Amino acid sequence: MTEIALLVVAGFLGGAFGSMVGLGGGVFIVPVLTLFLDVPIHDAVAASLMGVIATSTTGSVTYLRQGLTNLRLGVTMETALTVGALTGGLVGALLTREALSAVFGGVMVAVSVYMGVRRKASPAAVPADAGLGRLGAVYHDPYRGQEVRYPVTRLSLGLLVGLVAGNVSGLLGVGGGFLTVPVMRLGMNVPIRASVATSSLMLGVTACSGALVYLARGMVDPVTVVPVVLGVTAGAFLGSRLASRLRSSVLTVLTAAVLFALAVQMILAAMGIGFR
Amino acid sequence: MNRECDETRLSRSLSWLLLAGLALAVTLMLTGAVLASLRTGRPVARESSLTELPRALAALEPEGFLDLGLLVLLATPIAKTAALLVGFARRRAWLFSVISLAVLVMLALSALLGVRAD
Repeated sequence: MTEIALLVVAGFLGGAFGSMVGLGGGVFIVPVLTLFLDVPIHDAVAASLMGVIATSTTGSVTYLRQGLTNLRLGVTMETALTVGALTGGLVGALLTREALSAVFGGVMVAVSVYMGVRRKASPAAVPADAGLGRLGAVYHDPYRGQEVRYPVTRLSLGLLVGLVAGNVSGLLGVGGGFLTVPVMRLGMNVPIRASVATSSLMLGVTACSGALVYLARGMVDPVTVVPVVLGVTAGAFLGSRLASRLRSSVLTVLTAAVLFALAVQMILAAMGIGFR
Repeated sequence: MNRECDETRLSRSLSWLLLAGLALAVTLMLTGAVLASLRTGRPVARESSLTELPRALAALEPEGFLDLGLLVLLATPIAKTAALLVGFARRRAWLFSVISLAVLVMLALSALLGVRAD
């Protein structure tokens, strides 16, 4: 009974934090389950993927109502994410997990430091009469109390990173938001709130792609997965509401801090030290 | 009606769809958890097969409700993508409708490859 309560708590914390910064929470759930609760790695990854779907769904309910989610950009990037998730196994045959951890850990350290240093640099303001292109969008920023208009740039970069993020998701059981949020924010001119909201919607589809494989192979254990999913749902419900009350700069720093912590974890894992 | 207003309506529809899927999944999983806590002497079995699901539900076995709850949760993002396909088609945004279809095909391939790899 205590173990089930701990699974719920792990899910709650992963869901709350993940939904606040546009991640699925898998980067938190997998290490906690394997290190502290002795859950086998495959069960932990399956639980994490189902948890990511719950985080994505719960967070997206709020973000869609607030009009923050860019549907056209989201579905376009989902193509790359799902292809990446599907081909994760193929790449896994070519690269070791340690090599992947080291490469992405290094990239994420750079991205997190850059986000932290450049957090005050908002996307350039777009005149009200300027065209936003096929993927651009408009939303109302509840904190600043004004309308934000933005065109989307460098879609090819987003698709490339989406492919990689999907691949990592398929390999490690995470949603991939730790790559899609920074690239949308820093590389594609998407404001942080829209990046978090759009990433939240995309994560569900990415995790679904991986979870379908686990389910088809009979690797989803309801005794582990259900408590995690119930905890994640409650946590994500709280986190997505807290997110709209935080300043964009705080949200960016929070994202950068999570990315940095995750990067250190991945580098340590590559060196044979770490949770997994 | 401009594109922003039109897609605000689509966003709200998707929000309701996701909420309904999530609520149903959580209700089923909580029901399964309550049934499991009331049952003594037999632990919850690892997932049952799809063909076993109707019988398990009819017999009020917790496994049936837990598995169905997880299946509904898994189906929710798929339903969202299908709704996007229809939503974009109704707004004559054909390019994005085709992109939504491509995502659905990739999800179907994931399930198929998972079965094949078994």
